[in-house]
Amino acid sequence: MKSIPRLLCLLPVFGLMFVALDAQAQSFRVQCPMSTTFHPANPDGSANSNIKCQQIAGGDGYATMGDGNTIYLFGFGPLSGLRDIYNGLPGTKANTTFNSLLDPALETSTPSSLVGMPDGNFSFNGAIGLVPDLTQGVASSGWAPSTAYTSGQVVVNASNVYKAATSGTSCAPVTNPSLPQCTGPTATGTAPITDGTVSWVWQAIPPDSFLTGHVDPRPIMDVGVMNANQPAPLIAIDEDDELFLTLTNVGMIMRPDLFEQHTVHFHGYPNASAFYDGVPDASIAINVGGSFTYYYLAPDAGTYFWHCHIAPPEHLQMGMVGQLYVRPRQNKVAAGASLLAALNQWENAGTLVDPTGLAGNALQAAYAAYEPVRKGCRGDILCTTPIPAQDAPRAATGGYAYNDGDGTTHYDVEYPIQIHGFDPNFHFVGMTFNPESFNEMKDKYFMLNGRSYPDTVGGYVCGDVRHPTPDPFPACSGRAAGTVLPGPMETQSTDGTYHASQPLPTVINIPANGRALLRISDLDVTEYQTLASLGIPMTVVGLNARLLRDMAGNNLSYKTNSITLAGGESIDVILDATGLTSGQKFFLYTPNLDHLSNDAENFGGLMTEVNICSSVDVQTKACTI
Amino acid sequence: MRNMNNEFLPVKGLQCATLALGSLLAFSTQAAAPGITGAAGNPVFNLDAAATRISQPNGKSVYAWGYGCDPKAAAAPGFAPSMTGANCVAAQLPGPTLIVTEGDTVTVVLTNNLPGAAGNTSILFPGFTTSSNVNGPVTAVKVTNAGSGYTAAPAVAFTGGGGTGAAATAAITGGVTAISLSDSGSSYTLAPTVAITGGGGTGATASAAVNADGSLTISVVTAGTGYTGAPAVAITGGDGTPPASSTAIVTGSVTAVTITTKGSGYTSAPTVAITGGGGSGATATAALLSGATGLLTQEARNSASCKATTNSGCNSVTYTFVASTPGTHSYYSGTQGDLQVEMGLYGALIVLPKTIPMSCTNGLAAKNLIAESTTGEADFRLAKAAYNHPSSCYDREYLFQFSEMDDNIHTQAEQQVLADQAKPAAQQCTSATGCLVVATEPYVPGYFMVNGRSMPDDMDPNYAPMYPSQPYNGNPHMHPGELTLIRIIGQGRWQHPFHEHANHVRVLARDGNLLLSPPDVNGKTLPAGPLMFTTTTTPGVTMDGIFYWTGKGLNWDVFGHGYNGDTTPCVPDANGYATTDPTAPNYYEWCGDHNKALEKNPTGQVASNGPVTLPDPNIVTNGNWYGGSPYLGPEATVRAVGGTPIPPAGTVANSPTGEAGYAYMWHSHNEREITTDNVFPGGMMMMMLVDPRSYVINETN
Repeated sequence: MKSIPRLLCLLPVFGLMFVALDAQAQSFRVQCPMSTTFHPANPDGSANSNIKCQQIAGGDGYATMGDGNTIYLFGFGPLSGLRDIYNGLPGTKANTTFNSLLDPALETSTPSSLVGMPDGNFSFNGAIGLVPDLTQGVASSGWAPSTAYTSGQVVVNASNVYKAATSGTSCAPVTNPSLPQCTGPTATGTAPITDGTVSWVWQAIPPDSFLTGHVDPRPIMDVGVMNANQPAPLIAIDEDDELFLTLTNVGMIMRPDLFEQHTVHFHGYPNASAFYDGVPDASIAINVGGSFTYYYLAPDAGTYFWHCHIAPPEHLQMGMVGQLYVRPRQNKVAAGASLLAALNQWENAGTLVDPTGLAGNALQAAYAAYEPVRKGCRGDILCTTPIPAQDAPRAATGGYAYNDGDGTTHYDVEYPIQIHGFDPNFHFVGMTFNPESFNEMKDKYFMLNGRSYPDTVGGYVCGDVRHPTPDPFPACSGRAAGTVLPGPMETQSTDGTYHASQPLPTVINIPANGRALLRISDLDVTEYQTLASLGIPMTVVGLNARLLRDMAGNNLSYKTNSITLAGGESIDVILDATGLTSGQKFFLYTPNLDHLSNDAENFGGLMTEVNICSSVDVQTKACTI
Repeated sequence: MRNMNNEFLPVKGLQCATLALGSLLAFSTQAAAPGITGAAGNPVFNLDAAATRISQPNGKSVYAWGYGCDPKAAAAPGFAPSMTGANCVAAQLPGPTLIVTEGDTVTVVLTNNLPGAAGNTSILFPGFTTSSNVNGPVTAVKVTNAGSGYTAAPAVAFTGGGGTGAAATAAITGGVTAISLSDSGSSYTLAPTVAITGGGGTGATASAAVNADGSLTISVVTAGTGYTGAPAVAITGGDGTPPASSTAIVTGSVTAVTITTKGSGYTSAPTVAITGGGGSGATATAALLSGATGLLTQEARNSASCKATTNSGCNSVTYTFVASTPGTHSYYSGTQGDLQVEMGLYGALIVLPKTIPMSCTNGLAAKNLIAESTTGEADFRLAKAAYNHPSSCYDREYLFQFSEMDDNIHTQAEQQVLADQAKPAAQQCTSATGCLVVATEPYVPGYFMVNGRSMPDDMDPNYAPMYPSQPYNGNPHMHPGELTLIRIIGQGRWQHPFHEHANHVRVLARDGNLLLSPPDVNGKTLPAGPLMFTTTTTPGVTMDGIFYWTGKGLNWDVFGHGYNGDTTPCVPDANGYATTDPTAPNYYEWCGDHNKALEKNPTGQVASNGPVTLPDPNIVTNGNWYGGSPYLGPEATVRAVGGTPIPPAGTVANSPTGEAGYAYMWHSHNEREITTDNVFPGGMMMMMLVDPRSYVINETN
């Protein structure tokens, strides 16, 4: 083992840090425009919701393993979409949701009530830390009672931004309950505020006029520090979306010696640019205390995944792995319309012209002509959408895994499932200042979405002492304290606070006669793992984020009882519950028999349950028997 | 070992690792799929297996066995593609890549030069029907009856067997039966002493008697044994004048036949005739180096066991097969595979298609050659297609052989080989199965190699002199739009998920078998292999795939076009790519993003009003393959960075002003395999560079 010279090696980085200080560099920030050239504002001026945004924290934290042990993580935590992440949903939000303001009242207690968020009561889905940038168009950013105000002065409350239409002297800010309150600003934003004898007219303005990505670092640190999730926050986008993914490096509190960068590798992004590929050697990597916004136009539909690419053997083993999938354009076809016709449009596109020298509508029309071609096959050997022989109408409900044109990848409910493994010895050494052994790395915990059985089907304890009373978790309503339900798992951190460390259970609920899409990815660092289905055959419809179909359009999907993946692979499996009855239960488990264990426990491991329901809520995945 | 700094790489902290890498020499871009060739139609490869040492980036020199070119072979192999410094040493990892053409009758003569303790060895050619004793040269002659009475080496002639050109010389061994004198000497009164020395034998003695006239009579007293040539006779002492010359006559039997020319084309063993030399009765049989019969194939005998024989070619075996299927194939030892393949006895066989589809030589394929020649690039392809199928056209090609190594096994083997070699010759190992007792389990490999090298050594040139036994690199480069053939072989005992950053790979074939759709009504077939971003390498399995990168669909112009005053055209073909003018610097640009800005407020001269603001350069860490800007190529990069040269000049492997390519990591996604004996980075990892057209990809040395 080479023991030298971690610190020696880091000397150049010290140098870099000093440079950063000298330059008074910006630190945290987010980016999430309301419109872009590609997705211009709607005709009524409202934001274009095809712009999706997400903020994630790179840092550390703790998770709970199947045998009850706590394990140290390097990991990513949510800094946007926290409510949905807590409920096992993607944290990717439309710009209008992302660009909303957290109630500043949550920041007033000491220690901050934001530490340990989200919990069951946390209802905010926007970007943590986002505050109006008062340097934009205002003369003064201060606010105090009875202060003289000039026209254009800004005031902020929990959800809106207001600007004084005229000058005068203010009342107390609405956000400071200890002072006499203004009677405005109101929701309409046009009512006058009465302050003593003087009324001031306030004008509601679109929040994004002042939301430039400027953030207050306090809530970011309160939420982001020691809040690693396993797996990392779920990312889900639709084909043609623009994704602004901001990685905010909050540092690894338990390893202050490292001050490491983190990156996002969008694994499988076709025709990736090196700049946004997340490989630190081939691009830039964000230092502790800074944010880097990755920009992607959503690629062809499929089950991708993401992870940090800094020192991958270490950072991936330590937990910096997450899920990412892209839903197909085909989902947007009107119910009943021909799926095949939609595909054929891409093959028979109009004339393409050189955009050089064009402007305005002519330029937009020129670019628009390329959009079908971007998706079409037209002899491309890497073509993703070969034309099938059969047609099918767009189903009234559900979605499709791919742009299949024949409906063969239709599903009623989808489940992201990430396979991973942890070596507890490596994680223990990873929490110390000692060098880890890669040669001897051996996983002892085998996980689906960061949990081993039985946590894959549980995780949330109703009425636990750390939860508010009554327990806010909806499914706990009417249930006895101590009932274990599929929900977020919480882990106590070294500061005594609980964090929703593993928010995503892996209970597969399928409506009888319906179909579930399992979006399975694997980011194990050491070995191949096999997942088998007991009872329901697996239909493999996609591999590595691509439809299984030859270039002539023949369907190459196949049925099997098990799939085997290495780290860095993904596969799409459909479980078809046709002919099954509500109340039936099946299992997914690993035939790698030594992986049916939780470290020393001869039980658990890579396993979960499949329930047949009379109906399944496609959002919450709740099963009605 | 490319750099002493690597010794001090930290286990973690990529910033340090990249600094160490960045201090390396400027990166040259050698790649392609180099190998050796033989005569067209009937190539013969004279290989051997021998011990060597390979180097690892942590400074370790590991004892290994490898196939190589037999240093005693009469003819040197050809090399393809043509590269300065191309060589083929006696043992290399992987073994020499054999390049042949579909339909060739391929002959491989394998000579076992491994230490005796290793025992026999062999080669398997999976996927081919291999014969080990037909259609080859004469490679061994065994003397079946030594005959007697030979006083000179008889002539050896080969007849029959269907081939031509074999030639050999015989040697005799015997005792001294007489001493011939030019004259009898004179004036002796006292008898001289007769000494017999040299000639390869021992024990011959003779005495001299003085005749009445003072002359001598020399009589052989003891004939002695083992004389292969006439010994010297010295007549000394006495008091007379010795004969002017004296010659010992050796009479013996034929004990060795040495092949001087192996000939070719023999389909059965020719008849051997031994004539002349004064004797009679000697007979011999020729063999087409059939070696020893092993379990899986014929084996080349333990070299030590052959020392005791007079059988030239005893430790050789000949394999012959028809290269029936094009594509990428592997070869490896079929003898004690768990040890011998681990020790390094594996290699690649590339079979080029006999017929190249028309579409691979015209249209875009032809334009790409124009594009390459515009900047003076040469064509380094072995062929213009991987198969006789239009979907297998390619513009560049790379071969990656994946293997892992537990150096504890190698250390055990070396120690036991040395112990065996330290024994008296008669006690050394001559067993067919060798004499090594090496535990190959538990298996804890610390080295994970591509083409026998660990990162970063794999990015040094082919035939780099610092790796004399590891000639092949893994350092792919390509231009946008170039169809790149990836040939992948799993050569070890583990599977490795090989993740190609930047795009998917269309799997064309597995083990040299095209994966195709059923023929349509016109008989046309299309690729049916999957699209993969992670191509699993499986032991014994080969894969051919097509990869390319164009940047399509990023929604911003990677060339940074569209800045104030820029009029660079992007004239689209039917698929939206700028392929009209192959001499244009943006040849193969995706025109759907032409002139689209990335940056909201650019720092330099690129288009503005794009979607994003780049992070402050002061709060990021630059990688050593970072081209200096988000854009592709030095022209755009220099424009984009304005007055801020980032990263600092001279510390990068991808010069912002010279190359500014897009670098992508291609690596095993069982990520612990991108380490070298516990040190990250290392192992199965390389950087693939998509280079702008202005950067000349030079695959020569």
